[in-house]
Amino acid sequence: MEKRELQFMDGKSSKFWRIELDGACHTVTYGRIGTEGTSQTKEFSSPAEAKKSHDKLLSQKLAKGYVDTAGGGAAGGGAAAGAGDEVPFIAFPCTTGSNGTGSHASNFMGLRVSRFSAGKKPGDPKKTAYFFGSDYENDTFTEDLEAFLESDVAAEARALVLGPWAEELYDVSSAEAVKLLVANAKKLPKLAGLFVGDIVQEENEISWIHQSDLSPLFAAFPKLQLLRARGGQDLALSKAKHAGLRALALETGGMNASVVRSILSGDFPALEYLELWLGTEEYGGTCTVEDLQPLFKGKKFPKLRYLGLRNCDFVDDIATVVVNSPLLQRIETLDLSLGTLSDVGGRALLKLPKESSLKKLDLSHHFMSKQLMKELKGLKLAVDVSEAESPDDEWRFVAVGE
Amino acid sequence: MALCRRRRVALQFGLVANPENRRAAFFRAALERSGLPPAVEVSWEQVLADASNLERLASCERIRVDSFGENPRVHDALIALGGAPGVCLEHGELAYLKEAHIGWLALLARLQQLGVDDRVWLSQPSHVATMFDKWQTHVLWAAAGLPRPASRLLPRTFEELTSVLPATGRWFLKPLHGSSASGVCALRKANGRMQLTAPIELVREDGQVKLFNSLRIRSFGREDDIRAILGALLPSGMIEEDWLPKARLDDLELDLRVVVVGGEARHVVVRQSRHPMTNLHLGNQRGELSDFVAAFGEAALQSCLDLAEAALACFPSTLYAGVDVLFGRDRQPRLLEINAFGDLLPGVLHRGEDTATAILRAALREPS
Repeated sequence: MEKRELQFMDGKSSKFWRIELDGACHTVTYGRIGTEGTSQTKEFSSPAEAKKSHDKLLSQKLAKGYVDTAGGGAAGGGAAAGAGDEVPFIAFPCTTGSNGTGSHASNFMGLRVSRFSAGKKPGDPKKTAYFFGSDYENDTFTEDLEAFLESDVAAEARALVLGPWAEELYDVSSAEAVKLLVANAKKLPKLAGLFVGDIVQEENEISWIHQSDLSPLFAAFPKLQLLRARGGQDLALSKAKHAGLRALALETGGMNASVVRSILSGDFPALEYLELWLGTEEYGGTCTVEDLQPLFKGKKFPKLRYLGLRNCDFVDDIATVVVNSPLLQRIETLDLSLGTLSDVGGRALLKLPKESSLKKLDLSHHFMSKQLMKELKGLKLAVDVSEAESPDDEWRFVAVGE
Repeated sequence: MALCRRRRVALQFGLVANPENRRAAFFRAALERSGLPPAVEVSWEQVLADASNLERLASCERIRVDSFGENPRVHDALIALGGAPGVCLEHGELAYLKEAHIGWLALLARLQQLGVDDRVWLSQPSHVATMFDKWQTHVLWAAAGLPRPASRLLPRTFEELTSVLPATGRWFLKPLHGSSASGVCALRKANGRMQLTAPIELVREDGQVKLFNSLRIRSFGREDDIRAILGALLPSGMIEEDWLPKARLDDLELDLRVVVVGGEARHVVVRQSRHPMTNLHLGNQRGELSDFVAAFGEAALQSCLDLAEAALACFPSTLYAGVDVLFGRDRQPRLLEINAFGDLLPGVLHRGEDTATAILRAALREPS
């Protein structure tokens, strides 16, 4: 009997898919991670037919971005992701849509996101990432977070998602929320994942979200493995140092160069996953490809497996430089998605080293030509060139006049 | 299905439309399916060329009026009729909104002059004229006490606009005479900055600004871009509308398109979006009505349907229209727009009927 188990996680879902091949039968089991799932057994006319179907289904799933449970460093045996101390590597990304910030994460760190409301029964901490957020009608962020810190589940909580921290976000930064968490760090001994600013476009523009110095969180939460934050305004990491942090993701419309310098001169020996949305000068970005040179030299972050330089309007420059980086001899995924990658950068990527550790190149949402997309797909690694942006005039529409 | 079997003779329909458009085809198909004779058709081009072409409709017992849209020759001719002759718009170009509207009013007046009984028109030409004016419609609904987001007429220049808008807030700015989200802008203002989100492409050519309707929704943060866009749209007239939080389903914002026929809300489409504009052609998705009911309850849906019916009741003797209803995060329904030709929802059935068939049946039931 042959058995393969795959997993998939993003900002929307957290699921597994298992296939067992036994003679002329195969059994597929799928469902949300942490559940038993649903099983379907199919019988074929011969073992060869069963094997053929098995191989086809498997390759379809792998093409969709599923990864092997074992190879992905995930918790084994279909156990709830994050139930152990080690957060599975595939639980670090948190994409929720093509532009990434249109809807709230329903899944974070492999856990189901669920709003915590004072007076309502909280979700199971082994399966839940607790969401806090004010909205148009209820300015309850602080009240709910304070009630949570006093509750029994705080001591067991693995992940928190901080949404809008005020009803009106234009002038209020994340500083108070961060301060509240830091002051109560002792009540959150198991906190492994934190998202500061799950704020969607309808609530505020990504470039208008007021962040703050997030580095006090590093000192206060030594067991933190994943920190994700959205919004670049006033974002800072003044004391960039954490012995155990494995994933850092900063989503901005424009990244301040000083933040990048802090990270690259900081001390994150355990970092496996680094995702930076560099944005554009138009939205306050000051970072350039020069600021990333210390990263490309390849000495930082000895455990790095994923590097994402996303949502970037100088991604062509990055592509030109990154192909020569020694980093490519040890990372698995290079993610240059959501940016303005054109044929200039795409052509540079054709020169990626023939022998490298790289398994995946994510270039989705780009401005490259069909010809170049074809050439890139010829590279001996998984290349995602989806969401090609066509020239503007192909998007023009005529009002129907209703 | 022979709907006319019980009648003495088959009812003769007339149709004013762009004959090449899928809307006309949709109506012809419904006539055929219902066993009715083909409509007497007059095209908008014929109406534009010579109003006397309309006389062919004089003997029709019911006349359907359909959109002038999506035909570049008709659109350019409307602009000419509205006072700007010789204009030839590029595909998707967003310009001459006011002139096109004036031309459209003149065309509707030609229909009115035919002098047939009001009840012959499935859509009263004077009602259509009002529906194509967001401010007039707003005033009409306000007078009837129907809930709508707070709204006001905007000044015609960017400088005046910046002085009337408060320093902090968010609003929808909508062209007085537009449809399919064409020219609709979501504007935010805070801390001396502005951010405008719109299905608009901004092109600068030889110092000239051109706007195009774009399926790609863009954000503009630079003041000179925002000034260029609004500077081009405001002179044709815009209203400001409160940007209210819409209810969410599956974390996407939604609103409802309700087709009201013969006083009854029938076909409903849930439109879901991650953008402030939920129009389906902008890459947004249709949601499931059953999900809406599961999330908000039967009474919530009913409140939206009731409101849509009340909205069309302000246009007595107009048989049908597509009404857009905002269902707020406060779970209250509010009216957004009424679309005289908002009945094109292919594939959406109500009691087994598509919109065109439902409209036909209602038209047959009405007295003649």
